[in-house]
Amino acid sequence: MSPKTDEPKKSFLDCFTDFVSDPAGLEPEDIQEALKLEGVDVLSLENRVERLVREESSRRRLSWRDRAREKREKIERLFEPKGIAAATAGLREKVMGILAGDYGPGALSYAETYFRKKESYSEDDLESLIEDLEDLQLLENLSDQEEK
Amino acid sequence: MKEDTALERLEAADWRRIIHELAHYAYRLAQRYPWRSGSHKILPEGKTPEDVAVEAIEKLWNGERDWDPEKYPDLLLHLKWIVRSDMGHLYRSSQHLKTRRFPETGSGTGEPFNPGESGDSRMGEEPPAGSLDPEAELILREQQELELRVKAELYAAVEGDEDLELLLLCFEEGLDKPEAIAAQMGWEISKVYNLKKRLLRKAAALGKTLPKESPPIGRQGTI
Repeated sequence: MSPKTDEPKKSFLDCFTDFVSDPAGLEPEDIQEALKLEGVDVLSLENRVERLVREESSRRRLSWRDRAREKREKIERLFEPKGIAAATAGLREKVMGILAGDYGPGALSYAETYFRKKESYSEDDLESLIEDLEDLQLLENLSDQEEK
Repeated sequence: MKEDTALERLEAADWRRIIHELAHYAYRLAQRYPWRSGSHKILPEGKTPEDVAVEAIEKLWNGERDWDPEKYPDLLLHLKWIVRSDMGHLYRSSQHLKTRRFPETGSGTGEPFNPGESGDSRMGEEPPAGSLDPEAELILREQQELELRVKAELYAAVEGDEDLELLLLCFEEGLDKPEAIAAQMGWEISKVYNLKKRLLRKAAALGKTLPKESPPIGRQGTI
């Protein structure tokens, strides 16, 4: 008997441990039974993990919402000093939606640069910005596809 | 985006199944180390293998251990790697280092390792002959003695069960994949799985005769 690969031969204990710890061929009940034989209170273990996952999930969701709020506030601050006309409010919302969405980390910095150059904005300016951002997103998507 | 994906994957995971398999892995892994307590169920700092498993999950959630689902799509495998790494650190914890200095290796520093993958080049590596210092030679000798002792315990546990004895012979030959064992022995794969269940029941009783104050079995310095 000998392994049919060119890999270095595993030790007896490597084989034993890897064989019995691999769940292949075992029913969930077999693994639970093995844990019980080790003295594990399986139900208590499940509850411990369920509680941990619930708490950590909430914490990460809250953290994500905090970051989203910060991002929105940052976008709002971009518009505040520029005195954007009421007529452009719809476009402004669209720009904010794009920046707050999934247009990638480059979108917000691009918008910041764009606004820095101007003292005030027209409807055309905002439309131009939206087109630029959409082009940037297209380029990012193409780049991602090429990487894959 | 990556973080959102990871969070969604974490939230969608079957944590009940994962903790069963991860704790099971942690107990089997703990059996490879000669803990000072003399039992694989009592680890340093008063921990148990299941604690190490739960802590691995916690570290993944709180970000102490990073997880890139695109790079490591198998969540359980990634968690096993964390358990393995953490148990190695635990073994080398202060109470062990007080009494023994281990050779420095590149392991235990968080470098990627996929438990269960037989192709890990660090598995079972031994330094070239003549390159060991006296301390390393002593460790290697103890390691070999330990392996012989555990083998004897396993053979004693399966004595009279011809199939399990043959299964142990497969391990001697470096076979551990059910498919390879089935092919080699001319068994149905279902038979190998049944033998695994039987051997698993014996495994829980192992470790009681493991000596204290010895290096990890089979992979000293590579954990």
